[in-house]
Amino acid sequence: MVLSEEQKILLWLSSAEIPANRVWAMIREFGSPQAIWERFSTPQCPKFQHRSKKILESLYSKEKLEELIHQLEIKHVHLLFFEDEAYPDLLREIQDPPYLLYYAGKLDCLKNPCVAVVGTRTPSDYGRHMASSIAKGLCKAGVTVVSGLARGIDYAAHEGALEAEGCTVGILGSGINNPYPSEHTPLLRKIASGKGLIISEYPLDSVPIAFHFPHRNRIIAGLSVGTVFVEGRIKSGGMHTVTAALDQGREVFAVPGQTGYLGAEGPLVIMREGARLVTGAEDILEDLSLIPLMPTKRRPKKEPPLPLEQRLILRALRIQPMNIDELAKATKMTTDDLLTETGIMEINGLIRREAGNTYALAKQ
Amino acid sequence: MLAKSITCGLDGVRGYPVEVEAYISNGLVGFDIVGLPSAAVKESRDRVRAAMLNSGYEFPFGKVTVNLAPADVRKEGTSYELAVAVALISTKAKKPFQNLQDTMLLGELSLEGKLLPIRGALGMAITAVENGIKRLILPKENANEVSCIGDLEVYAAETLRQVCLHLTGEEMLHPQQTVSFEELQTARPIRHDMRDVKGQALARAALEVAAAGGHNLLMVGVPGSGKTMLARCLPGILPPLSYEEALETTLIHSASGELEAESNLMTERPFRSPHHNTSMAAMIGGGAKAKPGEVSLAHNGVLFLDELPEFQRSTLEALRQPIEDGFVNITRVNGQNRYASRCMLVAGMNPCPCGNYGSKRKNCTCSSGEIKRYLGRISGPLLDRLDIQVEMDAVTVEEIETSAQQESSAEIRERVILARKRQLERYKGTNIYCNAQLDQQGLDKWCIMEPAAKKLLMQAVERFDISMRAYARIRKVARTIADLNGRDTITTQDVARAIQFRNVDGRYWK
Repeated sequence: MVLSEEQKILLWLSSAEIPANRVWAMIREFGSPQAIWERFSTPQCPKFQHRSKKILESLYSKEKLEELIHQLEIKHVHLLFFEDEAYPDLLREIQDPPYLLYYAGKLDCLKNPCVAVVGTRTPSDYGRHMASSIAKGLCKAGVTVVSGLARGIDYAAHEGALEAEGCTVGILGSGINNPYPSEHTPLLRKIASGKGLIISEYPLDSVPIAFHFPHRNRIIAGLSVGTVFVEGRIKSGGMHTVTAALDQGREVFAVPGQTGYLGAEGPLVIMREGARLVTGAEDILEDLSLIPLMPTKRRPKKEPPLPLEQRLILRALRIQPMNIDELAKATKMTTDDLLTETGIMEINGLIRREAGNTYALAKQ
Repeated sequence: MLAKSITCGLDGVRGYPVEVEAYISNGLVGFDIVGLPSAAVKESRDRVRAAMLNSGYEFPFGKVTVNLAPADVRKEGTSYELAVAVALISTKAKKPFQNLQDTMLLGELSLEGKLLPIRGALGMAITAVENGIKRLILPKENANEVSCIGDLEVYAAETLRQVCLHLTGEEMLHPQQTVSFEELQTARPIRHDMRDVKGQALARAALEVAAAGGHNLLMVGVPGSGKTMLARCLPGILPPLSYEEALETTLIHSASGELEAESNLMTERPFRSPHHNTSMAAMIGGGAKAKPGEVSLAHNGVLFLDELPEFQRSTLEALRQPIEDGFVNITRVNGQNRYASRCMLVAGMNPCPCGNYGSKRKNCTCSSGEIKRYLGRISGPLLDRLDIQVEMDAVTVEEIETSAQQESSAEIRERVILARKRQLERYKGTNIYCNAQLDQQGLDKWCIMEPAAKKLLMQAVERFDISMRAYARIRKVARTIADLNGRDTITTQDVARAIQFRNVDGRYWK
């Protein structure tokens, strides 16, 4: 990796986690990154926090920076500067865009249109299912799915994208070398070694600090033409990403949930305020006028009609998810028959089982 | 002067005959028991002396030595006291005692001369028959326990005096009637009936299949979903104990002193539900005397572990071998014992620490990390031994009020008995007695599927990403469901139903 002087100085600032707005302000004030470097040893040095200042001092030599670059090369982590051609244009447009991004994986992902799928870390089965199926649908249409690599909805979205063998971008709130949550390390590997991309604004070994996460949400929203809020409460990280998307003038989508359920609060609130309601990936593709890159649906083969029992079950489940006792009441079938039919239907992918053994339609 | 009587010691669940020799010589007055007596046996000297005096007999004057042969086995317990007292009395008796050489005497003495119940009477009675002993005198409280043993005259006595009068022929006791096992079995009310379980169709079906195939069962559900209630119903739908099974089970309970006074041979399958702070020794068996543990006390019955993740991990892991092999070897300094432990393991647990994960009616307040840690307490190998796994949600009051009359335990039990019979016939000549015991070879040999069923199962494997072990479990369970329906080959219906009992470990343990 050969870096220009200017880039080295930006790397130096990034290593001390100097936030983007501060760096842009300094560049505006002093004229160039070099000016910051030169002033650092003089009495006109801009003020830094104590911790940042210490790091800046410890790296204040070109040799130390070379060593740092070498470290990055060993770990196969690359750098993307604001000036680089590959830097996504959409991200350039946001307020205080990151001046430097660390990444691992394939940058090509960002050439496709990106859509963010975000939500709570403690989703319902329904939320998880929706996140995953939306991600699948988007990927099949050649859209890159962006999310935050967190537990819950984020995880489901990434997994869905990987299952569809599509592109997915994960944005970390910590250093790439120190991902949070650590149990997602296998997921990260899968993404980075496949078609996907892992991005972080923070230096290699940066620890996950609470304020990093809302901060990284602006990148999630910034990379994407639209943001889908699957599940989450009114005060939540997902809501924060939605706000960032709105600030940046991007499209916002919400997945409807059941009123009264805490996880459905957030999406329902933004829907009332004008977010687009989505029932599946097709709605998003249509709203964003993204023509699927995959060949459109062939006319579906005429499948043999389902047996009467299965049709009865489907009709009952169209009203609401039910457990076996409720199904027995609704369809007037014996539980033995129901167990057989629901088993076959589950295997055939017509229905799925949620927690607590509730059967629901498996809408694809 | 020398006198002898016969009694019995207890080793594990089985007895061994002990000969009591009493010798009175001139010399310094004293009373000694030799032949490796434990502290409790040594203490019995005072009880024997007091009981004899209070029953109107003289205690021999002189140097009294009592030997318990074989002299190299450590004697535990209090069952020797009656035999010691009788041997001592017979040295000075005015009328000779009859039949002492083939009468086994069992019982603990109280100071006033009453007989007190002992542990392990059943095992001792069996030993008596095996050693050609024809008569048995034992405390009244233990008499019912041995009432099914043939080839043995059993006399139940209440006091030492009664025993002596009987032996001299002055006042004979009545020999106890032998009761046939069939007589005992009649009219046993089912304590927990499936009729009272409202809703929960899936769990009911799971319970029936588990009972029919001897499968271990895991129930995951929110608090109040009826896990414990269902588990308690299980003994009622299992086939009744056979005579051999009843004997095995009663032996263990008798030896560990778990039988109530005056109880008969057990006809109901045991239901053991140890609390989750149970130690490993109490669960598997052990202690200084290598006593049987909960898993053995549940032999031929049900071992119910409620709140499974709350058990100590080492306790749960230690359960694996006894559950798999059907016996447990306990080795201690004082000896080795092998106890049968062929029980069905039924486990209940909440899906998360707060209990509401997956509930439709309440929100779970646990973080995903907490849930993961909670579930992590159950190891994969243990989960693999739980063939049937079923998830339950709470039943609302409305559902309870409006639910239709459910099948009773008796009806379900009939189907279970038929299914078990089919299995016994199929596995004749092997050491397998139910589907749960099938190994890989057995699976290939006996779990024959229709082509359509096989195709469906392969589809399921692909869709749900089923592991090799889960695949074997589904086949076993499908085999049982086919047995319940009286089919020799497994059909698509059986596979479809077996699939319903698979899911929990896939959802929670990833």
